[in-house]
Amino acid sequence: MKLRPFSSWSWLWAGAGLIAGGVVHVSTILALPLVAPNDAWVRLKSLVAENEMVVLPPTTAGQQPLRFMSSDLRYAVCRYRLAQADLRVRVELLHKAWSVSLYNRLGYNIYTVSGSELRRRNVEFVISRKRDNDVALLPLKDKEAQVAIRVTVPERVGLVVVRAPIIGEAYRGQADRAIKNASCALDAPKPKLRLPKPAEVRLLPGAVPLPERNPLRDF
Amino acid sequence: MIIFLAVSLVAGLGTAWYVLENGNELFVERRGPWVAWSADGRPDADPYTHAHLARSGQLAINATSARYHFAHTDGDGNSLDGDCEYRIVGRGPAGQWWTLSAYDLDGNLMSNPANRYALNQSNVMRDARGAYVINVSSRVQPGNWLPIANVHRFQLLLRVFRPPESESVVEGRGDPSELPEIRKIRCR
Repeated sequence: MKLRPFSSWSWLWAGAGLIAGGVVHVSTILALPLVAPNDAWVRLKSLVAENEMVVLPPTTAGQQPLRFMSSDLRYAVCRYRLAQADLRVRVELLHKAWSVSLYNRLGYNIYTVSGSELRRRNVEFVISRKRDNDVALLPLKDKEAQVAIRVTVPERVGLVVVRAPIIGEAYRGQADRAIKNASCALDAPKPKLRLPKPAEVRLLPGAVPLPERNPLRDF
Repeated sequence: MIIFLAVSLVAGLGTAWYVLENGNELFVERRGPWVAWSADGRPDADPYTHAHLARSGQLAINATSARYHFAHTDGDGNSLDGDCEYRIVGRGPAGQWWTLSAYDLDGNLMSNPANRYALNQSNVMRDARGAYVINVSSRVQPGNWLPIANVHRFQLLLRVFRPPESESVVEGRGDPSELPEIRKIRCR
């Protein structure tokens, strides 16, 4: 059988295919994080209730809810869903290598702090939703700022993961107790700012009430 | 039209798969057989790192706090095979703490009769000079034994917490001798 040489049209199609291949390549790379099945937030759904810190069972070949988990680490996970209130996370970082990480829904590590970075064992986080007036919300009260670290997140849902490396078998019992004390809970909802009803507004002596018709607007 | 479709799919999907599987010097740092994605876990990472993370399904800590070194091959560049025995020789890596685990290609731990899945800085046995040898095999081994299953291919993951050289590694100035060597001993 004699092979037919490529016609000029075929070369043209192949060239166009290469250009389209570039588009396919870029689209595939950009789409993968959005279409990846069963992200960590979903995979942990059956094990971890929302806004609750759960210590995962020791990792073994049959007990591994996420890929690439280590049997040398204990994990505690909180699947959070922020509402009106902030989320408060309390952890004891027993060793310098222990860490607390915050992930968004796509599994990107928004924030991590390890025991070596803190001067204290007990650490408290206040996780709140990023709002337009974020700058005004950021400072905590002086007393609270001494104990809590505020992290603002752009998304409503995410994960808090505590990683506790087991630094030796003798250390395991102490590590188990410390990680079981980790907690994660929504604060009580903040009371909404109530504006006074018109009937409740009393004029101060000497004040002139505004006219019902605004002369600047209703001309 | 068939040529157009074939070329676009092969070129587009093939190159995407290749880059995610093997990495690229722009996004990964290679030290012998060990490969680490430089911006792993970071929300401001490049799209390739994000795609790699989504494909691997792991929850990574950012590279400054922990470093994930993956090995799919031995020191000679041959794929890690469950029918072979390997020797991991080294002193490091330097860092606050490290742990070495073996996984199948999907990132799952492999069941073994010893129920051992990792060796770490705290429990690895060293010689008088501080060096260690870890035997990776599906058969019982003396000394430091990291069991694997009889799978066609497997991978190793060396996690290093708080690597002291984070900044120098990102800048490509890391010392390759800090990571252990992977030597193939024999195959069945």
